[in-house]
Amino acid sequence: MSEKQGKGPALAGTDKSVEPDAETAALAAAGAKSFHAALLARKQALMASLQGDDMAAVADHIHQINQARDETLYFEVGRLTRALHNALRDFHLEIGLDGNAEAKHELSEMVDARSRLNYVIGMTEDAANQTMDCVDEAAPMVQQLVEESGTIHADWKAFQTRSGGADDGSRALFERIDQLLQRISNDGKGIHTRLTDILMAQGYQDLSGQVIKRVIELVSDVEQSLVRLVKLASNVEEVAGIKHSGSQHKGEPVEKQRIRAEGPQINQQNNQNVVSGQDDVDDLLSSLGF
Amino acid sequence: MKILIVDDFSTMRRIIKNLLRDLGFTNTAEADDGNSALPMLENGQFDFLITDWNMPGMTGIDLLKACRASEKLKTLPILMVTAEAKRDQIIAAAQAGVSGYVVKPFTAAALQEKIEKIFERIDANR
Repeated sequence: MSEKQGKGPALAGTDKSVEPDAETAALAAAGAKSFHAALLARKQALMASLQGDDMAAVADHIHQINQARDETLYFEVGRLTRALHNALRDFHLEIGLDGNAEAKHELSEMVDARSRLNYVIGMTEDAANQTMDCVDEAAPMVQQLVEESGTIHADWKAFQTRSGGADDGSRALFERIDQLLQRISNDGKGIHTRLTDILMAQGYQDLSGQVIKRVIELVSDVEQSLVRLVKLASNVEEVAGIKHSGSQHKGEPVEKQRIRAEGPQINQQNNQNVVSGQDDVDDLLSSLGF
Repeated sequence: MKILIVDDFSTMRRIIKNLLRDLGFTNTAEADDGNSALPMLENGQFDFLITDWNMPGMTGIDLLKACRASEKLKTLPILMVTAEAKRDQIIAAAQAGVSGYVVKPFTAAALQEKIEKIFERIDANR
């Protein structure tokens, strides 16, 4: 499951999922039955040992019953795990098969949840870059416009002063051109500010991408756990033979203490430990002597 | 003034690079995590580091600690620009010796203000 399924997703898993339900249900019933049978088989012997005060035999019977229960439990876990694993794999197949060839190709490119999410990251990255390309092209145009109109404005003023004795009509035209040059300068600066705002807004790609990457990690973790469980379940007998006194369950990370990256906070308002913005960061830092 | 920008998202590196260019800083370089940034810092003559926190490979906080532990980089001004917004994270960054901290999403003005503040402080300490 963790391997990339590059091509032909539609055919790969279909034959496998024909009758898992009936099959696993029967096996589960058998598992439950075998525990029940073991219990019944031990019942008489256990009673006899109890009445005969043979504590060693009693302990042995109880151990056997426990073992039968464990085996059933492991079996059940294994069954559920395999069902989940299949469900996850079959998730690939639910993608529609109709549509044009191009769309089909695109869909087959994103056969699993992770690649779908990576696809979203890629799309937003392309969109952000396209937007920033436009900003990068527009910014110098505006700047040049502002600079050139500024230069001409100065020359224009000088020219107006020189040709002082113009008639009324010319003076009105002088005035309008004057205003136009002034406006190019002002609006040009306004446009530059807006372009910077557009640039900053592309930060969404980073923030949403970080959240999506987290979900991708989660999906990978779940998958890996499932794969481990499936392997475990395939060794039911061996595992059941091991005393599960807890020795194999440790090793879970206790590294909570360590300060680590968490990505953007999604429910900021509900968390006291999360700052509400840059002002809050500045307050906190200044309280630390910054 | 030579500046290194470290972020795993190329979008964010580009945004910061453009903002710096607007502020008149055109000599910038980029890295996508601490592992690629650290040798660049050790071998190059960088005057300023702007880094994200959450990156695969070596994170920004580890890069910050590595810089502070390095003889060459222990006084390098480091600005963290990150989405990490928990109080204990900011405190941890401050304790590790960060020079400034900007939370994403941020404004051009906020970044400019922090950068100017850092340089003021450097000048005052000289």
